[in-house]
Amino acid sequence: MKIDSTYPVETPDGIELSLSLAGPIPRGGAWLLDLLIRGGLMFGLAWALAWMQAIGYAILLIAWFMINWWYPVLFEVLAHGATPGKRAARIKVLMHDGTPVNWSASIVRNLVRQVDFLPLFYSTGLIAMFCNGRFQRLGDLAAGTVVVRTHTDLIAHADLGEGPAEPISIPLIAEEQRTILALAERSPRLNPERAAELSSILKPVTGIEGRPAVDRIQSWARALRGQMS
Amino acid sequence: MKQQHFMAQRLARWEAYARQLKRLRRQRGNEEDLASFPKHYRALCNDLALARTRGYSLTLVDQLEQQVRLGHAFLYQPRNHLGRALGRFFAHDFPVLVRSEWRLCLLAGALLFGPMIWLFWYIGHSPEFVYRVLSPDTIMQYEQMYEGKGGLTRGAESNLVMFSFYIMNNIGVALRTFGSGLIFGIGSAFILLFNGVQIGAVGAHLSFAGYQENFSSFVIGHGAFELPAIALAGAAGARMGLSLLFPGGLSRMAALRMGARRAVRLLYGVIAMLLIAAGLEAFWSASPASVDNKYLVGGLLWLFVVVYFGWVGRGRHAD
Repeated sequence: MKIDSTYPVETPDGIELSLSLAGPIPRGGAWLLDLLIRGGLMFGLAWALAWMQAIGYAILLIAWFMINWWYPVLFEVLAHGATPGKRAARIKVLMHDGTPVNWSASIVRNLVRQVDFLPLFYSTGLIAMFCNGRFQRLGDLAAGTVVVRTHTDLIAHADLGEGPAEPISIPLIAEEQRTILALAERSPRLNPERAAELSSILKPVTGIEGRPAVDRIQSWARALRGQMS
Repeated sequence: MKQQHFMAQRLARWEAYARQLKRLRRQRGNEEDLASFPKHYRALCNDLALARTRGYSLTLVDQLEQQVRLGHAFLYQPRNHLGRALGRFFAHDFPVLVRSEWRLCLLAGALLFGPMIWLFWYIGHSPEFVYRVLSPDTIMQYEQMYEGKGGLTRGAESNLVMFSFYIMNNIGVALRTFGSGLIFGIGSAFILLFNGVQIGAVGAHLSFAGYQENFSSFVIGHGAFELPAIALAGAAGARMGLSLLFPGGLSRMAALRMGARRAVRLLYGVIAMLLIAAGLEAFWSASPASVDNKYLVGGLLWLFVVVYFGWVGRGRHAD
C-alpha cells in the first residue's frame, strides 16, 4: 500500500512512523492566513500604541521587527511546530527524522524563505518542492525539516455497525486483511454506488457483486476485528 | 489473539498513557510522570508493533500511531540550557568559529570594506564622483544630519526610538544578507558590495565636504560592532551557499544541512553584535560626550573586537 505523500521515519525505539507530507496547497493557505494575522497584528499594535507617542513608536518598531522576522520561528519552536496559520491548516514542521524542530533549523528555514519567494510568490520554493520526494522548499532542504499533516482526525474510530460477522474462508496475509478492513471502514462514508463498485473488484474472492458484496465485506471486517455478535 | 481481546487487555493502560502525556505536554506532570514516561512510551511502541504485525484494523493502528507520534515528539524534543549555552558560545565558541571560517570572513570583509577604501581614495581625488553613486537628495539629507557644532544630538525619547529603529533596520539587513546567501553566496556578496559602496560614498563625501569631525566621532563607536557584524552575516550566508556548491565528501543535501548549521551559529553572534551596536549608536554615539572621548572609546571598542576575534578561545576547537 504505497501512497506518494507518506514518508516513513524510523524512531530509536524501532517503530516506523509514517508521516504524511503536506503539499503546496495547505502550506500556501497556511502562509496566507499567517500573513493576514501578521498584518492584523501590525495594524492593531500601531492603533493601540498611538497614544504613547515616542515610547509607543519605539515599542512599535521592535514589535514590527519581531512580527516580520521572528513570528514563524517563535511559533514553530515554542508551539509544537505550527504557526497559527499552520495549525488551522492542520500541518506542522518537523525535523526530517521526525523529532520536533529546533531553533537553528527553524531560523534557517525561515530566513531562506526570501530565496524561496523569488522571483514572485514562492516560485523557486514551489519548483524545489516538486524536485524532491518530500515536498521540501529550499529552506527546508537547508534546515533539514519537513512539513507534515497533523493526524488528529485521520479516521474517526469508524463504526462498522451491528450485523452478522462471517469469518473469511480463505487465509489472508496481514496486508490483505488491512485492505479489507480499510474498505469496510470507509464504505459507509462513500456514496453507495462507489462502495459497490470498489467491493465488486473483490469478486474473485467474494464471488458476488454490487450491494451484497458491500455487506459481505462488512461482515468479514466485523469478524476480523473480533466483533463476534 | 483477536483484536478485541487485545484492546480490552490494554485499553486502561493506553488511556493512562494518553492522560500522562497530556499532563506532561502542558508541563503539569510531576516527577513520577516524568520518570515513568519512557517506560510507558516503549510499551506503547511494543503494542503498536504487535498491532501492525497481526494486521489489526487500521483504526486501531492509526490511533496507536498517533499516540506514539505525540510521545515521540515529547521524548525527543531538543533540550535547551539557554544560559549556559550562551555563556559558552560567547566565551569561546563564537570567535573560534569565526577563525575556523577565516577565509570566508576575510572575503566578506574585503567585499564590504574594499569599496569603502576605494571610494575614500577616489572621492578624495574627484569629489563630484559621489553624485554618480548617491542622489543629490540623499546627499543633502546626510549633510543636514551631520551639520552644526555639536553634531548629532537628540533627546532621551528619540534615543529610544532610534534604538528600536537600529535594531529593526540593521538586524533586518543582516538576516537578509544571511538568507540570500543560499544562492551559492551570490546574494550575500551582492548585499555586502552594495552596503560597502553606499557607506563608503556617504562617509567619503562627508569627510571631504567639511563634516569630518562630526561624522567620524559619531560612527567610530558603534561601527566597531556594526560593520564586522554585517561582514560576518555575509560570511555566514556564503558558508551555507558554498556548502551546496562544494559538498566535499558528503552528499549535496547533507553538506547543505551541515553548512547551514554552522552558518546559523555565526548568525547568533552577528545578532548579538548588532544589538550591542544598536545600543551604542542610540545612546552613546549621539551623546554630548566630547569628540576626544568618542575617539578614545571608539578606538578601545575596535581594539576589543580585534582582540576578541583574534585571540579569545585559542587552543580550542569549534564544535
